[in-house]
Amino acid sequence: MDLLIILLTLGLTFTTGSILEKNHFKKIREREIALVKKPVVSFGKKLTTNKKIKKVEFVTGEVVISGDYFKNFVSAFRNFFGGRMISFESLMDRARREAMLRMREKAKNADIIVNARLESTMLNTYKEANNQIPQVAAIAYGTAITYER
Amino acid sequence: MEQQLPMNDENNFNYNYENQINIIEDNVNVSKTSDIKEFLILTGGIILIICGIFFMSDLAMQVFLNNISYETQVKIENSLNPIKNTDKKYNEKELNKIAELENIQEKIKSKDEDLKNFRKLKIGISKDKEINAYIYPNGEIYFTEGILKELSTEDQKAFILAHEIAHYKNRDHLKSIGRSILAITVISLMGMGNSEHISKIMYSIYDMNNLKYSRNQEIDADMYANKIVKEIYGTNKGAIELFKIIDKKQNLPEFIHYFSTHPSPSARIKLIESNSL
Repeated sequence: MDLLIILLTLGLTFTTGSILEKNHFKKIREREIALVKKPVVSFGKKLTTNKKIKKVEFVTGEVVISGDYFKNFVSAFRNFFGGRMISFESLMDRARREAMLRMREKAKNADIIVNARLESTMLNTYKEANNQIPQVAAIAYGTAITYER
Repeated sequence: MEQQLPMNDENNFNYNYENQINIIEDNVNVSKTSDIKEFLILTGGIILIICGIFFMSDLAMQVFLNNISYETQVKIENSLNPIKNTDKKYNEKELNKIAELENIQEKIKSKDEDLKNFRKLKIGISKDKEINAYIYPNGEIYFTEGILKELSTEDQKAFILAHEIAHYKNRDHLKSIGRSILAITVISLMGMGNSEHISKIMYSIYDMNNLKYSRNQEIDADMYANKIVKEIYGTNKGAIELFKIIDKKQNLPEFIHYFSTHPSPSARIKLIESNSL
């Protein structure tokens, strides 16, 4: 009986999880293509330009993404055998791109974002908790620069 | 050294956006393998490991228990006495029934040379409505009140008793407990106890293995009991009738018996009938 409930939950969370993930990736792709002409660079200190700078702004984008029951389940097995955590790769990718996109959308009117940085962290890392919820928080930040037209 | 960089000026910054879009569409950071494939491969691995542990511990117990002497077996049985009080107080009716069963035990013993030097097994009655009889690892045979109600003739009682004595003779009662102790120790030591769900799954797989194995033991015991009862009473019609009654009382669909420790009553009737020549 326990086994049946676990299998049902696995099936359910796999379906919902993959639908959500697919939709998220679709949206991410659309937004990235829309912003493709706005450059983001990771350097900035040694940058010079002839243009007059109108505005300098600090922009950030954050997101927290959690794994579903199915992904956690598979990852627990993966913990045992070792190897690439395929089920969490997409999670990391979604978090990174979503954070990046939020930062870029915040600087919609700017011409370029320089000194862009990415950080990631786990939010709940209690050692005591038995059922840790695997999630990833990604933070993107940088300096948005707008030129005088 | 400072560098001059073209900055998002469409006149002199002729960037290949096609290429950029292709990179967005074709993501290298996420593996192409689907989660479900990963899940199937890993679960298959776990099942293989558990089956391996099961068969290894089973083999170890078989080798160990098949090679010990009867004296050692009795010593192990005595060390396995349950903590609960086994000296129950029975009323006169129950004492009569136990005495009758003990007489049958003597009859069975006289038919099999191998049983001659075996000690007299203690027989008890448990207050349980379920139709069942079982042997404890310490060699005590218990009949439930439910089964005693159904047993009408002496050959039926003899069949059930011979069945349990066959388990005793094959040392099944020790094998199953020994195997469980060994396998569960190994599974717990593997450190999979971290996740509640995973350990649940692992024990379920282990239980499935146990059931199939247990059914084989039951078939062996049935064959033995069938042989003995026929030697004493000449026929084994009583057992067939008994299983028919049990089948009617349980009234379960056939597939449920796949998850049961015993074969289905109809399968057991077939087994007895096919060996009645």
